[in-house]
Amino acid sequence: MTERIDLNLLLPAGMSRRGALRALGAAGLGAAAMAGGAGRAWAQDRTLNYFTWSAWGEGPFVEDAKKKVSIDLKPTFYSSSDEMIAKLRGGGTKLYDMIVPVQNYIAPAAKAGLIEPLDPASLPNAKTLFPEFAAMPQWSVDGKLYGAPFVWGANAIAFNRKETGDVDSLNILFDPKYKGRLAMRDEPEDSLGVGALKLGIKQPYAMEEKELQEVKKLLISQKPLLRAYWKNVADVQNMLASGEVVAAWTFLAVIAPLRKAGVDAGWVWPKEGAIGWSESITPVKGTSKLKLVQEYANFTLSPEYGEFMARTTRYAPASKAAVDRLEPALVADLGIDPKNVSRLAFKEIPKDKSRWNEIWNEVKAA
Amino acid sequence: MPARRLPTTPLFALWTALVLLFLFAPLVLVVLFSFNTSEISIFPIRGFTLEWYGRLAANTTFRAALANSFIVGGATVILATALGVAMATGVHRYASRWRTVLRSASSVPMMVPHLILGIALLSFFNIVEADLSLLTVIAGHSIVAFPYVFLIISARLVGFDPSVEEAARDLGASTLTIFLEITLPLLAPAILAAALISFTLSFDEVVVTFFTTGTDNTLPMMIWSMLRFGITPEINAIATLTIVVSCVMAGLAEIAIRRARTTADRRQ
Repeated sequence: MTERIDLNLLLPAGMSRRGALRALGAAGLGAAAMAGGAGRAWAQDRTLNYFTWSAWGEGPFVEDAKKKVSIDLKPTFYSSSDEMIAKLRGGGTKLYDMIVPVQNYIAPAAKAGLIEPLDPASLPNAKTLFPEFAAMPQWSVDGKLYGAPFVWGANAIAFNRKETGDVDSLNILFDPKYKGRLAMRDEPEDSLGVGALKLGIKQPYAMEEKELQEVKKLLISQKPLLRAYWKNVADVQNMLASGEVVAAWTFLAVIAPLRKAGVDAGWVWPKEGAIGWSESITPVKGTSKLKLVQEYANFTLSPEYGEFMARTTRYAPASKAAVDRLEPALVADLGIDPKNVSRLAFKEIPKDKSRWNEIWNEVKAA
Repeated sequence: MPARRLPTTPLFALWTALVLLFLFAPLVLVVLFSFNTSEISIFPIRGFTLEWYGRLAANTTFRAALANSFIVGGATVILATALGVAMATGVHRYASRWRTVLRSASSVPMMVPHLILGIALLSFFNIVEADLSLLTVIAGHSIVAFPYVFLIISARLVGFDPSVEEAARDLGASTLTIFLEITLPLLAPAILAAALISFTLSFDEVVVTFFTTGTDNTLPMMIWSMLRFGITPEINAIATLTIVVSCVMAGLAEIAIRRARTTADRRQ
C-alpha cells in the first residue's frame, strides 16, 4: 500500500496534486512572461524612464506631468546619489532617460560619461530662476550645461525652541549644556562639512589633510555630547518629537511634521554657514528622447511646477516666479531666503572622497 | 513512542515569554502606530484613524510596487524551490564523490554580501546584453534564495529512511516514479518550508533588486527610498499588512503540516 501525504487543504476541490503543480507552473511562466513583456518599454512617443528620488516620482508628480505636458513618467527610485551612480555605471544608462542628480555629482558623472548636456536654448523657463541658481558653476562642465536646478535646500539646525530658546549658531551642537541631547547626521558630506564650518574653514569641500585632521579632532570631542548619529529622517524626527534630542543637524523636511505634532520646532541657518544642495533634471547618456527630456526639464523650471512641488513636498523651488506665487508665511516656512544663499556652502565632491569616508569611520569608531 | 518532553517549570515558561516579548514587541509597536493620527510615531497616541490605510489604497505607485513584489516572489518560489530540490536530491543520492564541493558551491550565494551580488549580476547582464526587467530580478532573487532551499531539503534528506525507496525499486518502479510518488510527498513539509522562506527572502530583498531591475519598482525599493527622505505612517500600514499576510501564510503552513502528519500517523 503506497503511503501518501495529502496536502489537500491547499488544493482546490477536485484537483489532484499533479494538476495543481501543472497549474502553478503555467501561472508562474505566465507571470514571468507578462512581467518581462511589461518591462520592455513599449515604444510610446511620450514616455520617459525617470530614475529619481522617491519625492519627485510618486503618484501626484506622475499625474501632474500627464495632465500638464502629456508626458508619461515611468519612475524608478533610488535612495542615495551613490546608489544612482553605481547603477548607471553598471550599465543602467541603457534603462533610463533622465536622472535627478545633486549638483556635486555632475562633474564626476560627466567625466564618467554617464550624462549628456542640455541645450540651454531649450530651457526658456530658466530665466525665472533666482540668479544665484541660474549661474551656479557646478551645473556646467567644460562649458556644457548639464542641468538647471528646479529645487534646492539647505541642511541646517532644527531645534526645540521651548528647550533651547532661539538659536543662531553652530555652537549649540557643541554645547555641553545639552549633553546627550544632540544629534548629527551619519553622512560624511554633512558632518565633516559642519565641523569645517565650525572651525571657520571657508571652503569645506577643498579641505587639505591637515584641516581634515582638525575637523576629526573636533568631531571626536563632540561625540560624548551626542545622542545619536541618525541615518533615516524618521529617526531624527522621532527623537526631536519625543524630546530625546533638543537640537540636531537635519533637513528642513522635519519641521512641518514636528510643528503638527505640537513641538515648537525652530529652523535656522547658523551664522557660520549651512550646507546647500540643489537638484535638476539631467539627461542620461544615450537617451533616445533628449528633446522630450529637455521639455520635461523646462517644465520643472516653470512656476506651475514649482508651486505644485512646494505645496506637495515642502521643498523650496529655485524659480523666483514660483516663489512669487506662494504666500509669505509659506515662503518663510520653506526657509526661502535667497538673499542669504551666498552663506550656503554648496555641496561638492571633496578631492578625496574615500579619505572623507575613512575619517568619518574613524570618528565613529573613536 | 512519544518523545520525552522537557519539564516545563514556571521559570522556563517565564523565560520563553520574555524572549517572545523581546522579539515581537517592535512589531506590535509598528502595528499600533499604523492607526495613530499623528504623523510622528511617538507616545502618547493621539487618536485612532484608518487614514493611512486609505492613503495607501489610493496610492497607485504602491499598488504597482506591491503587484511587482508578488509577481517576483511567486516566480522566485517556483524557480528556487525547483532548483533547490533537484540539487539537494541529486547531491544526496548520486554525487558521493563531489558532495562537499557541490554543497559548498551551493552555499556560496549565502555568503556573498548582497551589494556585491547585485553589482556582479548587473555586470553579468550587461555582458550578455540582457534587458533588465522583472525577469532579471527573479533570476537575482532565485540565486539569493537557492542556498536556503538547498540546505533545508538536504537536512530533511539526511534523516531519510531509504528502505521505502529501495522496496519500491525492488518492485520495479522507475526512478521518476520513485521521485514523484515517494520522495516528493515525504519531502513535502520541507519543500513547503523552503518555499515560504524563498518567498520571504524575495519579498524583503532590496539591494539585489535595485541593481537588477529595469524600470519597475518593488515594494521594498519603494519603502527604502521613502525611509531616507520622507516618511509617514503609511509605512506602518504597509508593515502591518505584511505582518498579517506572513502570519496567515505561516498559519496555513502549520495547519497543512499538522494535517499531513495526522494523516500519516493514522495510516501507520
